[in-house]
Amino acid sequence: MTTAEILQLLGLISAAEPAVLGFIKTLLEQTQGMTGDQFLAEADDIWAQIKANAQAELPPPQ
Amino acid sequence: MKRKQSLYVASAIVAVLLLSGWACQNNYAKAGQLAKDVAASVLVAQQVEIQAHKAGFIDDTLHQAIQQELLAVADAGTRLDAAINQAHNASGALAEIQVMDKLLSDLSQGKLAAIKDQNTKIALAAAFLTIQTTLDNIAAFGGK
Repeated sequence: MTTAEILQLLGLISAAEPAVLGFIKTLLEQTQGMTGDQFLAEADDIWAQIKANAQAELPPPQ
Repeated sequence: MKRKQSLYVASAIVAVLLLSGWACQNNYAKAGQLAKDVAASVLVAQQVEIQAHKAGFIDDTLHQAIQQELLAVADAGTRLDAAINQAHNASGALAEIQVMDKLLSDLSQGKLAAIKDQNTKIALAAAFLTIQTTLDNIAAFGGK
């Protein structure tokens, strides 16, 4: 069963039990669509920012 | 009534499918998410340290030593991402985690000891602990 199929099924069930399953559905939707590659690309951007910040705080190399 | 019971059963089945599928199919995404969490936590710790330095709680020498070490952490973090991403190289990732862990231990136990302001020391210690805990979670993935 794919994530999309699970979401579709949860959508049907949550119509009857919105309080319980709506929460699970929301959690799944939040993480869906972000791949490992995308997470790592964002991590690389953050590391680049950290390096730039550190270099700005350090004296220039002699 | 019977319909409601069947809904509960269906809910339980879906929840199990959901959790097992998430755990089995998305370890790579989860490792990536944790790697991003580590980077974001280091960025927060760096910002806290820079602000504490600007406020006069950390002297220039110690500030530069900490930033130098954070630069080394960021280099190791970039290599960690490459090990996870390009090669799916568990041993390479674990090696970088060990490098980062050693640097963070030095920051926590060595550099922070020299900070006199208790609030700054506690804030940075908490930030470094969060980073190390997240790194341990990545290492747990790599060990599987």
